[in-house]
Amino acid sequence: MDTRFRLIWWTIVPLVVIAVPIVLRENFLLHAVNIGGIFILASFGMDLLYGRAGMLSLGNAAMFAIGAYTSAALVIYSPVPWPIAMLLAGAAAAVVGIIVALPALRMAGIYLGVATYAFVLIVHQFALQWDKARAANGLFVPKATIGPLAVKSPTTWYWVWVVVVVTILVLSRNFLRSRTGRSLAAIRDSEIAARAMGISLFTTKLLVFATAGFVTGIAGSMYAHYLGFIYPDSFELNMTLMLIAMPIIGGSGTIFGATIGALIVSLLPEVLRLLPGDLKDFKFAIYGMIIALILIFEPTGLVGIGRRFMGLLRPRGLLSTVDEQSTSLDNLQLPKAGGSLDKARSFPRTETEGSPSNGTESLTALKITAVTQRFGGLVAVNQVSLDVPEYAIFGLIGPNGAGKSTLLNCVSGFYRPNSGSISYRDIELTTLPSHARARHGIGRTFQNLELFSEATVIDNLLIAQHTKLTSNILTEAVLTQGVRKAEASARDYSMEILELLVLTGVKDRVASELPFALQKRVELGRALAARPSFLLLDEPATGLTPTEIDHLAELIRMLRDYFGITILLVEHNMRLVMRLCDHLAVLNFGLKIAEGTPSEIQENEKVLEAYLGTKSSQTRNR
Amino acid sequence: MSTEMLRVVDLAAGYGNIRALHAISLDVNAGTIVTILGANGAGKTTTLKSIVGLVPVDQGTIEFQGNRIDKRSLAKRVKLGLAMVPETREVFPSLTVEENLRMGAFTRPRWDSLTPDFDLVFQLFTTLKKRRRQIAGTLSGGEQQQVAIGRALMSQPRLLLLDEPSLGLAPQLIEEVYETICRLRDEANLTILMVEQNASMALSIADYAYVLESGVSAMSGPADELAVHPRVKSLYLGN
Amino acid sequence: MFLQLVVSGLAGGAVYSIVGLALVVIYKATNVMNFAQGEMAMFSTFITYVLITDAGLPYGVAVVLTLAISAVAGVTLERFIVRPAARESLLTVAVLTMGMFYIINFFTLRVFPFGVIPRRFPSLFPRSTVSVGNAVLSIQKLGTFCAGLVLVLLLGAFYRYTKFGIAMRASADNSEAASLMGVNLNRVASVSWALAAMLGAIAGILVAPFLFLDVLFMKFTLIKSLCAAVMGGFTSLPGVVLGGLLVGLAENLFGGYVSTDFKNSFVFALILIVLFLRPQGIMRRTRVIKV
Repeated sequence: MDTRFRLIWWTIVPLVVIAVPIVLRENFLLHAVNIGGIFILASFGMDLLYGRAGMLSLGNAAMFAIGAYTSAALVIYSPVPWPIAMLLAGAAAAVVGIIVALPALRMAGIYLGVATYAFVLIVHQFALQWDKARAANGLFVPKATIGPLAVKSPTTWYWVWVVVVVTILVLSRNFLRSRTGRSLAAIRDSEIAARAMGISLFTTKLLVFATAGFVTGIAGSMYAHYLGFIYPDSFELNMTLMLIAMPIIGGSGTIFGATIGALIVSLLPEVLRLLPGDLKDFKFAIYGMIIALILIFEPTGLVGIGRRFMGLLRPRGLLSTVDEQSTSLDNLQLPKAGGSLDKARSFPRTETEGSPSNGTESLTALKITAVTQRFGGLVAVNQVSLDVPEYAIFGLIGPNGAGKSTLLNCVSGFYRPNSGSISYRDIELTTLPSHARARHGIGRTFQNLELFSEATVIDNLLIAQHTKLTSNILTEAVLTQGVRKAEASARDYSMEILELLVLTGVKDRVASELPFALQKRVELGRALAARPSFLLLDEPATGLTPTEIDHLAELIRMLRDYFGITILLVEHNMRLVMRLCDHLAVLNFGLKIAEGTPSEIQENEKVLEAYLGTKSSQTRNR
Repeated sequence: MSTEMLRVVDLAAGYGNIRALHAISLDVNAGTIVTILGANGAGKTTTLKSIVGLVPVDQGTIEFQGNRIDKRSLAKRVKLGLAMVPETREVFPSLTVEENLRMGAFTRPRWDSLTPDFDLVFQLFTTLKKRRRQIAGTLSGGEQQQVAIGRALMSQPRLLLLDEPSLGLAPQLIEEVYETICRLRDEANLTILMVEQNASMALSIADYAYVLESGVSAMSGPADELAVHPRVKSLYLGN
Repeated sequence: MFLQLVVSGLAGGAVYSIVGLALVVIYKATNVMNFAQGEMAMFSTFITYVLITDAGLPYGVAVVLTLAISAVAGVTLERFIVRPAARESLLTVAVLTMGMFYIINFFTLRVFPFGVIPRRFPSLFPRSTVSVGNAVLSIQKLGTFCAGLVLVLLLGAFYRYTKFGIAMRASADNSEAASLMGVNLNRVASVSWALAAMLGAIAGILVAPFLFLDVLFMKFTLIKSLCAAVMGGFTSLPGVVLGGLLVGLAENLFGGYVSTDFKNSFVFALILIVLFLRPQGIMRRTRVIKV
């Protein structure tokens, strides 16, 4: 954001915050603002799940309810003071969050929405039963107290929620801009790529649900004590709709959006009250209509509309052109010596110093032994064995459907072979989950591009360093010295890679907006950012023009020569393969039919037959 | 002068970001088998999809029996006499064989006069006759291929587009499929435009061939000439 | 008592099956989870009510008119609200239908302001009983079950024996191949929303005599029908019907023998369990995602 803009922003916002209670005094508008303010955290919690992590959770009302009821119960039945009760309520709601997270481990999309909504219904039923057990209709909640101070008046409440909300949002902003926040974007955009970068889906999903639960529970606690009376029906369908409406209307994926959304949705009934007739009873319908309109025309919400006005967001559907010159690979330069890219150079296995191309002994990097992969009745990979030597550029070729990509997926851990074993530098990979293999230095690119499409180019590279950074959500929230240093160094490293790949001009662009060839390069840069010692490249030349393919060849050669990375390349483009690879293996119908140098392969009868076919079926062997 | 069934001039097409075809030109004469060869990613399937109407045309023209069709809807093209058998068959797995075949005749106004068409298909593919009420998803690959071709025939096409008919089939079945294709040309007077990876087999039954590379037509000529041309090998295996 | 519970379960289950079918019809054709299905049904039921009580039309005529209006409404909703958003993600569209829930709710109250007060809804079947052995069974419930059965058979016949019905099944299987055959996918979308709207209307008319007619009377029915649809894996029509009947039976048996208080919780927990056992995170059937 523009620094001038920033200055204006950070002067206006505090002024507005201070002015509000003074201007509004104690009237109903302040009350509405308070409700809105209390919901900011709930809206933010919803946005963490939906906008940031891409998961539709309709169960947040359950977390909110548990927060409210826990806080109320603690203050009623125990000597715990309200601020502690509020934190405990947050913790309880975090636990509920973890339970609500369990379906997210097994399903996604709408099914997840339905499954999580079931929790709201269940909590609602239990709340109803608790009412019945007490022979009451709802629960009276005692006023909150902070020490000796009773929090009663709307103005006092205003300042309470401002302090709580601002604190939590500031802490959250910190972790959202660090490793944790990026891992959420990763699982939203591509679970597959996230796994390949070493991100554990299990841990990340539970963590984000717990966090959402915590902040939602705190909101619930404030809600209960502010209103002084809670009843089960208020935590059901209507609240669920409000909670999803808030970040959508405001602008999902941004803190500001979640905040504005909460305020608007809460102030709406008051605005409607000023209108003629009894429209305010239809506030939910209005929410519905606004949601519908926004989702149809501007799914990025008010924030998106605002950005569009300020010209920062391009009109939808129009890709602004990327300056060809600024990203041309015509003059590929080797990295500067002594830069942080040196960290990526991995030559641990040679005894002689320097470039591996001068006669190092050929130790085996990747050993594939008799791997078989079946899908139902189809044998996609049939007892294939391969030894990929260190520092080789090893090509895997074969006709369509030969099993090449399947084998690649076995190596990176997305498929579990039915038999056989795969080891890398004597480490047995076969039992390791995909996200664990990244830690051993295995990186990859994908045939159908699995970029984190809504993240910027540089964020894509930062996400790749997930396993190299050691911060966690707590250290990131408070932005310790260590975290700051680690982030800065990760950023520097990413910049150097971007310079190398001539992508600095587009570093802040959203990945999906780039032309196809650049996206492929970003994916390569992302794979490189993880500092791999072994790279799996899945059809990197697809969709590239001949010139781009030549550049690609140069890049790949540099990866091996300068960085010492061993490369296993699946490719159809024979020009690229024959020029670049020093070893080749040919698969056909899941079997390895030939292995050798490119010139050997080109003259191999079986290979010719596999690719060009034969007239007679008798000579074809399977 | 043999009648021209299909004429494609300078076709450019693609998917979203990717321009798969840059400038493809080809002609198909009536009553012939023309094959399109080329390595993976060369643009063969995209060419067929543009001709039938699944992929919109960015530039260039397509003429079918003298009429421009590149701006017409897919349904219209099917009604005019084009039919396509997609790569990997794409049968409707939960429908029966018979229902699959009926779907091929969707653009025909009435479904009660389909008996002669069913007869033709079952004459061509005798195993399907036995399996007419079987759910298509339970058929073997070869049988599904038969269903897919039969389905395309149900719209009474003049030009049949085949995308990799031998893909994933055992050699024995490939022989049978190729025999069928020849019969379609010789007995049913169909014109066939066929994309194939198996260059050798394709060239053995085709009359004419085009070789694509990276979205352009790199070579073309009578099939028997191309079958012995060294450049074909290099376009496939690089050099 | 067992037999009575079974009959109640079958009647309720029939209603859940019908709404479940409506949900699945839409889902199979357009990949949209229509959270507003219940409200659409509710609106249609109100139309029938007004046609019978205010306009004095005979039951059958009122129903037929309602079906026609519902079909038009369904097509309109699809064309003007759902289809423009179809390019967005499926999640977005699902949230959109949640918004539609409230829009329809509001619209209904605007048109029928009396809708806040629950009313009795006339039943198609006589409110009499028949004795089978020791059990006293409600004709109304038996009739509801039979009506549901007939409806399901009719729907099945449509999908199996009509040209467009087969085309709709084909496009649910493989929409690209279907369009290759010349099927207009937009028309498939319209027809499926019209069908679903009509199914919902019938479900509403069948269940309204048991619950009182007000603006929110379909809310819980929708949720239980979701359970039915989930059991059918959102793809198999017979599975949905079976699922609906099972939900109805389970709900009534649980309520009769265990506890009426937690009857609803039981059904909701059932949704969770079924989703866990048959997660189906993929939107389309049998498409292996190529990595």
